[in-house]
Amino acid sequence: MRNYVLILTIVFPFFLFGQKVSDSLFRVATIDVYEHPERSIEIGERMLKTSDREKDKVSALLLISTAYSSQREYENSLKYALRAKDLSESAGDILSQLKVINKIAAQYHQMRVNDKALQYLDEFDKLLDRYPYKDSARLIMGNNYGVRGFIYRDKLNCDIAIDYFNSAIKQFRLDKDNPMMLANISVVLYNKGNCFVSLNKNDSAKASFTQSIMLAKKINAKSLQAFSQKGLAETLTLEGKYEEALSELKSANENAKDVGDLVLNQGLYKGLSDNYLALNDWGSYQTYYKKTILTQGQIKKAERNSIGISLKKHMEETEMEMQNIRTKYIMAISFCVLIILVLCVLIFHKQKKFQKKFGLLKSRLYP
Amino acid sequence: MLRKLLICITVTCISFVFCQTNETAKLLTQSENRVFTLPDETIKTVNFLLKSGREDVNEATLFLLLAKANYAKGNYDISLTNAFEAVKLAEKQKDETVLTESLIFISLIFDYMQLKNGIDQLKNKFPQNELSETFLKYHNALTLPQEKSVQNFREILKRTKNAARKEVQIVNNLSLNEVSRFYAERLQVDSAEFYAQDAVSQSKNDSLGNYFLSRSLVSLGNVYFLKKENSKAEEVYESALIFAENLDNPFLEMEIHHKLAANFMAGKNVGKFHFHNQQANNRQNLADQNENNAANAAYQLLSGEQDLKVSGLERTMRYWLVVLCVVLGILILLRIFLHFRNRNRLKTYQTLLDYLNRQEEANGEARETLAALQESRPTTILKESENHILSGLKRFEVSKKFTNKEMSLGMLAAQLNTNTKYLSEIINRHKQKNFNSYINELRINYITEKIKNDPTYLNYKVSYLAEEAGFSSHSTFTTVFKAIVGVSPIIFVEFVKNQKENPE
Repeated sequence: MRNYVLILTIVFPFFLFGQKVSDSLFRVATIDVYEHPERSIEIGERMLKTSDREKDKVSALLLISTAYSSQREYENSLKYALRAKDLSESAGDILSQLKVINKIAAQYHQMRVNDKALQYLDEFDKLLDRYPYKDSARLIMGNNYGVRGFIYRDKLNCDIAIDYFNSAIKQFRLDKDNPMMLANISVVLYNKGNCFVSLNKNDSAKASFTQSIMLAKKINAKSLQAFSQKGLAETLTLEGKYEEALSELKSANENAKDVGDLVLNQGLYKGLSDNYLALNDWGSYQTYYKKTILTQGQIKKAERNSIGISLKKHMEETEMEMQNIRTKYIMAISFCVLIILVLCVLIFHKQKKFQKKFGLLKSRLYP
Repeated sequence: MLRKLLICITVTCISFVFCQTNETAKLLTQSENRVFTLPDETIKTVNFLLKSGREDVNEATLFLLLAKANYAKGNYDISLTNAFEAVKLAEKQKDETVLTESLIFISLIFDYMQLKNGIDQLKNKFPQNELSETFLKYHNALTLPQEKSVQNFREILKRTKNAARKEVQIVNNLSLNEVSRFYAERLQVDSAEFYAQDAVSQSKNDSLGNYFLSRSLVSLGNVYFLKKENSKAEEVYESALIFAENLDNPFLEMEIHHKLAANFMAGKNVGKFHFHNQQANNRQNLADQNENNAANAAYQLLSGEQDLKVSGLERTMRYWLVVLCVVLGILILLRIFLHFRNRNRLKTYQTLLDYLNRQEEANGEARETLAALQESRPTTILKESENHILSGLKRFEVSKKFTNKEMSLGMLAAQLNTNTKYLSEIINRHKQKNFNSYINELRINYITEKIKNDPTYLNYKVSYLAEEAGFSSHSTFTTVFKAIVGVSPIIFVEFVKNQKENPE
């Protein structure tokens, strides 16, 4: 849950800044991908059919892949990402190949299949060696180090992760003028700060968070600022500076108001409740504790929502399939019943005719 | 000696089997009792039993046990998979108990994960029984607004008090915790403490297992925390944590670490607050992963259920289609069979009719031809001798002499005191056939008359009939019979038999 904000910023630049967007519809689809994945898939498919530029096709495939991953259909998501990989390979465009590989790695990390993610990150490194224009790949390289950092943080420990976070920051810094770079640096610094907290390096953590806040302010990224303020408040709490922590959290809460990020809110409420508890303000503690629990429930509900939607969709599909089966078989069955009835009538009729003929013959034989 | 040995072996075998059955039952009861305390041991035992493929254990029960054990460990994905397997098997075996219990554990996980669609999809699977009713009441209470839900929980408590069945006791324990939580949220600490204490002692008395004891202890700890009795709260949380750690349940551990962190924060112990916060975060990662896996498993299992419905429908439909096709095939075959049978019967009757008609006509015609021929006779044979031969032939036809196997043209000529040339010419002229046809016809007509008029002939074999008619071989008789009558002797006999039996 903690790297939620990060995945968003890593995935989005591909569409928003990484390459030219072919039309406004595509741009809407990319922004909408988490809200209306089905529509994004539809637009992606349409674009896939109509466009003849390989680059656009790769973008369309990546869009569909992201849409499926937001619907929790990871297998489909990977299928399209891998298709994008094949396509970019056949086009021989190394830069877009690198982007696609990063995306697949991030996808696997999101699915918590970290070994597979690392495998793709290694592939990225090999491919990058063959790419001569490193300057134009700073953002992707930085993202790559960032993903590595997250994986090592989950899999190994924060010491190793911090090294990768530093490498990521170094890459992003090489392209300072790009606002997306600053945003990414801020994200990585926030995560680095968290790592320092867990390593009990409060001062380093504080420095990271402060820097992150500064960058976020520069590009006016409220959610990033709020995240880092939360981190800073945590370090203040650990120093016993509850009042300072509270004022930082309150300011963060103000910044987070319009963001509507439940994960962020939950963290802020928890920080507030902890600090009020330390100050023996039970009334405020209760208020924010309840808010924490409530937000936790909302997050869970939102997470389950996608399953609910997928299940509903699946149910509708199965319902339709069942209807199809019913129609198909009922037609066949009715046809069979009809033929059986016709045959019965025919047999009855023929037998009657035969009996008549036979009776006549008999009467002539035995008059 | 040998007999004694045999008896000995048999007795040993029987006692061995009996022992094994007993042993398995013991193992199962033991696992059942300890599943919420030592889930790992239960998992080991069940896996052993599943691998050994014993016929004396119900597989559905084993999967249910696995589901319970993994529930206690917080492995919700594995628990769901096993519970669904148990549901499938229980539905097949119509085992209501296992079905209800499996559905309860699936619902408990779905409730925790807030997967509403999932429970909706499963609700109608619950069989009609008291346990289902009690559990669904509990489940509904969870979804109600708090004031209302606490009333329902109290009703459930009344209903489930001093219950003997473990699952009902579990519902009782969960409800006690819910009621305690309700009062704690309203800061009515005395009521909250009363229900939490009750939950702890109930889980101990009914030996529900450490999982439920740990959860109840957390409720009690929460009350002490609210009463600001921090050291008491710490003590209770710590004992709950030991149980949770032994179970290796990240969800429980995470919750307890959070509680401990808050408790230390209230005591301004930042170091311990930080420690438990970090611990909680570590467990959170594991718990998130588990929950994520469980969500995916739930999706797979639920959509699998739906797919099963589709394949079930298709199977039923296909079954009926096949049945109808078979019926159709049978009817077509019947029609073909009837067609040929009818045609054969008509043909046979027609042939016989023709034959019989011919026979009658032949009798009438013979006289006419004779009279007519007597008038015009372009022949060298004297009229007297011709008449003599003709009357001789008539006698011959009336007699049974033609049934003599040796009968030939020469022999008949000798009997009629004439030569073969004359006889042959007269037969040719008067009967319009050669001697062989003439005699064969006489023989066949003779035997058909016999068959028609003498019932004993109906039971004779063809070879006897051939001999009786004067044929030396059975096959010549059949060939000649068919050539003259139109049907084989067997069919003719059958026909006459039928006519005798159904004379209409």
